Amino acid sequence: MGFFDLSVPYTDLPPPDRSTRAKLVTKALQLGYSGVAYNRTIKGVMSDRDRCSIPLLTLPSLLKHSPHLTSSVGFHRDLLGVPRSTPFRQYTRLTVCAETPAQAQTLNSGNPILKTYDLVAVKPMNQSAFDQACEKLEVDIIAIDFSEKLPFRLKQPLVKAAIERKVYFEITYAGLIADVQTRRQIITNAKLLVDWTRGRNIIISSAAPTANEFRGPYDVANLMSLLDLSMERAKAAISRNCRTLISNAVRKKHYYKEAIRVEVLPSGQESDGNKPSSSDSFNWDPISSGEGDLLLDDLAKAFSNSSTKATKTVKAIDFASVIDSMPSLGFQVNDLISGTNVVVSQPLATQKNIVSAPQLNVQSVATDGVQEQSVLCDTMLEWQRFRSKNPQKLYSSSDTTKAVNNVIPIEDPLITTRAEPNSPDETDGIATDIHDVQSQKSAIANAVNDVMEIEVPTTTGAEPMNSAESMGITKEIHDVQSLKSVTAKTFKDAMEIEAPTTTGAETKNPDGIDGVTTEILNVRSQKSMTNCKLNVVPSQVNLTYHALDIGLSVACNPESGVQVPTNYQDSDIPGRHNEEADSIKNNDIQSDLVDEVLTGKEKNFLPLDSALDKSISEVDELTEPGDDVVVLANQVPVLDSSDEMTATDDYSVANHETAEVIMDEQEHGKADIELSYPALVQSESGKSKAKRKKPHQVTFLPLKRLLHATPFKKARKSKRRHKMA
Amino acid sequence: MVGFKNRYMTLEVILDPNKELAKKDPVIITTYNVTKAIKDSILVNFGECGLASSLGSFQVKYVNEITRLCIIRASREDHQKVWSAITMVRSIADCPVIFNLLDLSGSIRACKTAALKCDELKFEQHKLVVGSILSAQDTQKMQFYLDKIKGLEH
Repeated sequence: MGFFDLSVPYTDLPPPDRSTRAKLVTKALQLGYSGVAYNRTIKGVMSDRDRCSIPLLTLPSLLKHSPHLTSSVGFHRDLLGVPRSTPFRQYTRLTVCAETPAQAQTLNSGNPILKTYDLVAVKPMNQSAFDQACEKLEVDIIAIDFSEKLPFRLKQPLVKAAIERKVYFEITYAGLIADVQTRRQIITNAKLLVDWTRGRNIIISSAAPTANEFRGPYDVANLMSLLDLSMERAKAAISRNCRTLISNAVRKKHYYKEAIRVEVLPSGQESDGNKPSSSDSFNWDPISSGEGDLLLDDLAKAFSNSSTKATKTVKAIDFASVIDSMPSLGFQVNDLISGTNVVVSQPLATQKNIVSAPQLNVQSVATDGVQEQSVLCDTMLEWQRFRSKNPQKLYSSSDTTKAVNNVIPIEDPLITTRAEPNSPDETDGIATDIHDVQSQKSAIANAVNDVMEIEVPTTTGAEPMNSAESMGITKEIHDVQSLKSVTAKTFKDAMEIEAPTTTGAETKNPDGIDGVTTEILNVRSQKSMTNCKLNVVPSQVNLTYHALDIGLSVACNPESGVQVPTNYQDSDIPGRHNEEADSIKNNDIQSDLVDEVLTGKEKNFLPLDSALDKSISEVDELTEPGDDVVVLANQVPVLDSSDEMTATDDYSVANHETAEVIMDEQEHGKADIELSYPALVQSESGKSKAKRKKPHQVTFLPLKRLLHATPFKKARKSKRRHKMA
Repeated sequence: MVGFKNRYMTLEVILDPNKELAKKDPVIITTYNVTKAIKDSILVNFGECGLASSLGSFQVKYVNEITRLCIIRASREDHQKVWSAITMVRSIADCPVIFNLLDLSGSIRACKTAALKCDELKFEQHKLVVGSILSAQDTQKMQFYLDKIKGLEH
């Protein structure tokens, strides 16, 4: 989870002041922050002159202040648990001082000047303005100056109303550090706010006039303990809350009615290349008009809608430097770089555009997904790192909400990643697949079904592009296809496609990668989030247990009883909890990560899923089980890098047995997760379409399972008893 | 069982954040410097009683002036107060500084491993910054400091 500082003061003053800002941002970067927002304050009436004109800083300007930025940034990020490749984002923010109700009225969503900024904050100067801000005004942040005696009272019902409207209160800490008198006032006043809000919906930012008042994220969180804000909430206040805020704000800015992304297309072919910069589909939450750094190289890109060329060149440089600076992940980077050339993306983009041309929704979604090589790169690299190093580190700090957020942005990139023909690296493919899966899930949760369906054709379009070499791409396509089709028909098609794909993948690469690709496909195909989640979770757990063997077996054994898949669905859900514990036990970082992500997703999507499941199960029995199976299958192979076919046979047998047991257990409310997983894997790979039993049971049981999470050991024992019986 | 617990904080000191590329260190960090600055900060922010109660376990165990790393011990009850006070330190002997926490651990052993790692990494960075002017003396000193970390006791 990245840390953000959403209040770096910006003034219109002449150049001498710009270096202060650059120094501040350099310091923020060095201390491990993932993003800043330049804050501009205006008073009185807004005029057209107030349109956003804040220049975003570029990496060269930051390097001027500190030539060895990359090493220190990497060092601090490692310590904080932030992935090194997280881009550094820059946002723009406007703070409007509202004194009279008339001034406050201008702060509505129709105001065009406000639209030029990423974030909008209001600074109420009197009681009436504060009332309005809490209840009516459409702002993101309510910024109160605590260093002076408060001109108004913070009333409980008003604060409560603001929290319900998802407006955040801001506390700035520069005053605490700067001056003793200010310190006193701030603590007195801010404590009131913390009391009334109970620590929720608070963001902390610096508002530091110089780099001297800047502090690292954990130090800031600790300072808040002076205000009686618990450490946990304080940490959330500088990371999670900021991120939610940014994602909401960016979504409002770029998406019309939360579904269609509107982008200004520069004329010419370059527009495609430029798209990634502005349409950070992979990570469209914190898309900044000035994109951040890439990896250790920390190449900050100052994007503007017009500088397509600059973007392109920057991108090229980034990739090269990425390769140089990331030896351990070098191969991945190379793969990515070779594949993520702007040129490459362009054909993909065009493809997507062509495919989605007929549909507005599709187009918008596709464009988002198409690009963002940097995002792709980052995600891939992050994923790689993740898998290769300490995924726990990356994810352990992330909340489920974060996972959810991540999932959502990932969705688009997944589509894009798939489209890219150049992902020779297997791991890349896997990573993208995984990302895709995740994104898919989020997409499902968030996107309209129609949109999803539209995406399917898009992906099919991308298919021809992908060569046989990139399994991941093909899988992506399948996944996309599968996910998108909500109707049974589509599902069937997807399933059919998936089945051959998986088998095909298997034959090609006995490696675990194939399994991965199949997984992705399977994951995608799942209609409901819950299904996906369930499948994913179990598969991961399974991976830990039967990493190598299962993976292969899953891939190689397409024929698994239909019952098994259904069972898995049910068992997956309850098993999930157990699995998570197991995975943790096994120190399977990947599974943990996935689990965490999934859990987060699941939690969010469960209500949706249950509804969906019910409907889906009624309609398409076939589709659901198939998805689960597929998902499981995919999961298992991921872990196994050197799977061997022979082992699979044994597992398949075990799986079938376990599948049966699972069914029994389900009824009893206990699922043997371990056993079920291998079974699931096998069943998934099989013809999921063939038989689907108990679709209804599947939909209802999972939720029940969640309610009665049973410890792993118990489940095992019960399973054995069942077996004996 | 050990009833009394401590917290060991590994911090780095960032000197003169406003200056650009300070080639020469404006101030040399010593144990005495750091202790004095932190005690003053506790006194200003938490008063006499605050200073007195945290002084019992408060100690600056290790300071490395080349890499600007320090290890500070505080009691478990007061470590958050002491940490806040450290964060609010603005200057050491007229040179503006920023204290940044790198690691917080409950035992000296864990702290030693973390500090060794951070020290080595920071020394690499220092070598980058200093470039070719790196003297053998510095390397020797670093070796001495690393040994010192290894010899830390509570």
